[in-house]
Amino acid sequence: MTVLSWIMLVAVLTVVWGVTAWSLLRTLKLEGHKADIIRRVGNIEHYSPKALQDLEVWLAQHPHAPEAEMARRRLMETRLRLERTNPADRFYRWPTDAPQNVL
Amino acid sequence: MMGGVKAAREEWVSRLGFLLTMLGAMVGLGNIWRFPYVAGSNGGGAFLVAYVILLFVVAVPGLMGEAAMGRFAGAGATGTFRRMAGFSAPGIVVTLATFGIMTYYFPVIGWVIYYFGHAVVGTFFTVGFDSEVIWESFKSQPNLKLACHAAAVLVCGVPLYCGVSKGLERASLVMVPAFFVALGVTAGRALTLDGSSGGVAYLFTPDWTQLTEPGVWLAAMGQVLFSTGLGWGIALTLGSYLSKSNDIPLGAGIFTAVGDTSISLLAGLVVLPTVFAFGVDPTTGPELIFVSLPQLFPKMPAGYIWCLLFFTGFLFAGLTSGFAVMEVPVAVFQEESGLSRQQAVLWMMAAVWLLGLPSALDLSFNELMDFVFGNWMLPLATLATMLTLGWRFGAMKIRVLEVNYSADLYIGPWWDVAVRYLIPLSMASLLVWFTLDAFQSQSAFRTLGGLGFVAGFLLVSWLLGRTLDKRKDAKA
Repeated sequence: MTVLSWIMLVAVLTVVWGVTAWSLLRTLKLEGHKADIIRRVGNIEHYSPKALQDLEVWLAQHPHAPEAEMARRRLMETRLRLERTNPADRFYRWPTDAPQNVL
Repeated sequence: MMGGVKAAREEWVSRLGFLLTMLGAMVGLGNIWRFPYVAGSNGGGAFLVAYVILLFVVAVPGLMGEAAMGRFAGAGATGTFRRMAGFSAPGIVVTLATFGIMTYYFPVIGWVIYYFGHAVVGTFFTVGFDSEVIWESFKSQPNLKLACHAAAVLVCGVPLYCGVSKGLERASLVMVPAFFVALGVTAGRALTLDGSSGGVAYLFTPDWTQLTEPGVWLAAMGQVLFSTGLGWGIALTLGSYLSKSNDIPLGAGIFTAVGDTSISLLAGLVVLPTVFAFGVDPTTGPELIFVSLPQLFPKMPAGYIWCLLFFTGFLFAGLTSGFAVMEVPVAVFQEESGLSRQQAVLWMMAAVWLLGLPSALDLSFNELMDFVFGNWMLPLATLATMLTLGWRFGAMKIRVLEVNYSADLYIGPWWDVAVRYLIPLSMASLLVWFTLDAFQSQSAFRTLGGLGFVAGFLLVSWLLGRTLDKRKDAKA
C-alpha cells in the first residue's frame, strides 16, 4: 500500500461512511422532533423559510397552473400555522418576526 | 391533509423502517460481487472519485425526484405517470423493465439460497470438496435450479403478502442490520489475512490517467445506475407510502444513495482482501462468489463462522432487494386490476416464477436478459422518468410542491438543472455507449436482436398504457 492508497482509502471511507452516518442520524433526529411537535400541537409548518420563498416565486410565475390552487392552499396553511404557533412549536428555524415577514 | 386515494394508502410505521427498506432494496448481489472488481479494474481510487461525483450529481437528485413523484401522486408507477405526464406508458416501461429484471434476479437469489444451505451444513469444509464440481453439478440439475428459483420467489413473497408495514418494513428492520453486521465482521477478518493489503490497494490506489477515459466515467455511471436503483420505480413506489409530514431529500435521496455505496465499499473490503490473500482473480463475475470464495473459507482459521456470516449477509442482501423491488409491479398490478394486495402478490409472484423459468434453467439466457435489460431498458426507464419529472411536469414545480415539503434539508434550484439536463444527458450517453460497445463486443445478430426486443417492448408498453388510460377514462 502506497501513501496515496492510504490517503484515498481514508478520504473515500470518511466521505461515504461519514455522509451515510450523518444523514441517518440527522433524519432520525429531525423526524423524531417533527413527531414531537405533531403530538403536541397537531401539525407542523411544512415549509422552511427558503422553501416558502420558492413556493411564492413559483406561484407568482404560474398563477394559472393546474397545481396553483394546491400551492395557494399550502402557502396559506403555512402562514396560518406560523401565526398561530409559538416559535417553540415550529419545526423550521424562522426569524423571530417570522409571521410578519412571511405575511 | 390527504386526498381520497392517499388516505387509503398504507404508510410506513417508522422512519427507520422506511430508510432500511429503501437501503435493502438498493443493496443487492451486484454490490457484493460486481462493484469491487469494476472499481478495481477501472482505475481504483480514480474510479471511486468518478463514482462519488456521479452519485451526487445523478443518483442523489434522481432518487429525491422519484420519491417525490410517488408521494405527490400517492400511487404506483402507472398511476403516478398518468397524473404527472398525462399518460401511463412511461410507468408501464418502468414497471415492465423492473419486472423483467426480477425474472432473472430471482434465479440468482435461488443460487444464493442453495449456497447458503451448503454454508450452513458445512459442505465447503468436507474432505475432497471441490467448488467447481458443486457449481457444475448445480448447473446441470434442472429440478434443483427450479426448486431454488421457487424457494427464492416463495421467501420473498411472504413479506410482500403481509403488506408494506407488516411485511417489507418488519423484514427490512431485521435483515438490513443483520447483513451490515455480517459483512462488517467478515471484513474485519478479511483485512487481517496475510496478503490482504493487495486487495485494498487494488480498490483504492488511484490511476488518475483513467479519469481522462470516457469509458471509465460511463462504467461508473452504469454502476451508479444499477446499484442505486435509479429509474427502477423503487424510490417512486416506496416513496408513495411516505406520509406528507415525512422528509424526502435527506432520507430517500442522500441516505439511500450514499448508504448503498457504503455497503458496496464494505463488500469490497471483504471480497478483494480475501481473493488477493489467496491469489484468486477478482474479475470472474458471479463465479467469484460461487466458485472462488467457497474454496477460500476452509483455508481460514474458524472458516466455518466466516463462511456462514458471509453467505448470511449475501443472502439477506438478495432477499431484501427481491421483495422490495417486487413491490413496484405488485403496487401497479393491485392498483390497475382492483384486486386485493394478497391476490396481486400471488399473481405477480406466480408470473415472475413462470417467466423466470428460462433464466433459471439456462445461464446463457440469464446473461442475455441482463444484456438487454441492463444495457437498454434501465437507462430508458430512467430517461423516461427524468423527462417526465423535469420537462413534462416541471422540475421547479415538483421541487416546490413535494421535494421541499416537510424536508429535513432545503433543496435549491441546482436540483432543477440536475433533473432537467444532467441526468437525461447521462442516460442518453449511457445508451449510446452501451449500444456502440454491444456492436463491438457482441455479435451483430445479438445486438440487433436486443435492440429489436427493446423496440417491441416500448411498443407493447405504449399500447398497454393506452388501454389502461382508456379504461380509467371510461371509469371516470
